[in-house]
Amino acid sequence: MLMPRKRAILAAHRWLGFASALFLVILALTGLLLNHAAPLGLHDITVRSGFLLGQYDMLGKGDVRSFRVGEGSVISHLDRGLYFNGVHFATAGPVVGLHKGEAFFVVATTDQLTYLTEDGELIEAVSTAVLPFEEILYLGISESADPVVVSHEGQFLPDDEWLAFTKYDGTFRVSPLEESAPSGELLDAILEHHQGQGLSLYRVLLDLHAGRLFGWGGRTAMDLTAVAILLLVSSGIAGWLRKARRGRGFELRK
Amino acid sequence: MANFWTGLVIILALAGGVLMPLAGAQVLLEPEKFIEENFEEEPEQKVLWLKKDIKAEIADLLGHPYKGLRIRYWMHEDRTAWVLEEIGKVQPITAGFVVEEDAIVKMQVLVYREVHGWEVRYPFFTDQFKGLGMKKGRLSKKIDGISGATLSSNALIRLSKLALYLDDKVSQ
Repeated sequence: MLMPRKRAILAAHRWLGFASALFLVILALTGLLLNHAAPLGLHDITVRSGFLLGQYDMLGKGDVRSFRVGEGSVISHLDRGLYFNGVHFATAGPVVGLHKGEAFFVVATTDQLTYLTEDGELIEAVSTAVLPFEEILYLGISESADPVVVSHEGQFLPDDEWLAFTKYDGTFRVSPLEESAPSGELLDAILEHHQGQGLSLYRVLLDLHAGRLFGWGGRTAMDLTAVAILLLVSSGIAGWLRKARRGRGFELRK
Repeated sequence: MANFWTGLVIILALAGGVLMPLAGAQVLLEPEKFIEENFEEEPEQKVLWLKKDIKAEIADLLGHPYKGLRIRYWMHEDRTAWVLEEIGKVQPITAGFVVEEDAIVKMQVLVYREVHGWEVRYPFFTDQFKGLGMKKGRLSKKIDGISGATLSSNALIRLSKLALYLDDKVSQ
């Protein structure tokens, strides 16, 4: 009869083997494919699956939000990218307000005010970290038709250059942002910038092999699998030695 | 056996505790606080418009064009403060610079977003920038980089040149 400690080791060995089997199969298969990447042409095969693109923070067409500003200009937002007529100009959170001033456009996002020339050239991107408010909610219009920044910390009136902001307690109105459907050409330009040429199958397999495809959790799972292999090897060898020793003792006794 | 599992849990918890702060952006000091801390009286907020010649000179200093047509800064008497950003490896590093009489008074990393190279935020590195000036596009003293944080060190060296250059422009 087995001693309780030995039984526990045997049970741990069995369950560790079951738990790590799937990951070991993934490791072995992806390892085999990666070892023959060149003849299989893995670098040249591109993947555009929505799920995989999502894993790489690459969003699809449905995630692009576009708004018309001025005459024939479109501001779009995808992930943390801001685009003017399909050309990337800044990195910021979701768009919450747009204002067309005399000299420039203002794009308000939750975490930033971005100023653009009428041609879409970036003037300045000002993080709320250096502004008197932390999170912008909307852009509104005061009774005297001046722009108002509505934030969690209250309402503020910008000066002509949108440099300094003064607290405003008067009334204001907010018009909801009207989204416009961007043209296919514009969408393609935005996605091209965001996704590049797509993902190579080699990259996907490599990240699956290392667990990186599923972020921190995936990497940890693969790390634990590696540790499990070491434990399985040592408990397997220990078990084999024990049996061998017991067998030798049995033969000597005979 | 119980000791083994307890040990494993402790090691994993420790590893998690060390690695977790390294993920994502680390706001080390709010830029607004940096400005507050470095002026005895409230400074005036101004902007420097970047004309073509200035943009060209900045591109020379940084090694790439600067995105934007104006840069915000804070000024009181001879002292100016700048909150600037530059890519380390893939993510921008936000750093604050205080310049007075053509020399850096203080450099501080405000937001660090890279996974590697975070050692640049420590005083043993940032203190090297104190008293630094610039002559003919070169810093007056050599900054010792940090092995393993070369790109971040270089990004901050470029930004220090930019801060000195910009201070010179607004002080003229």
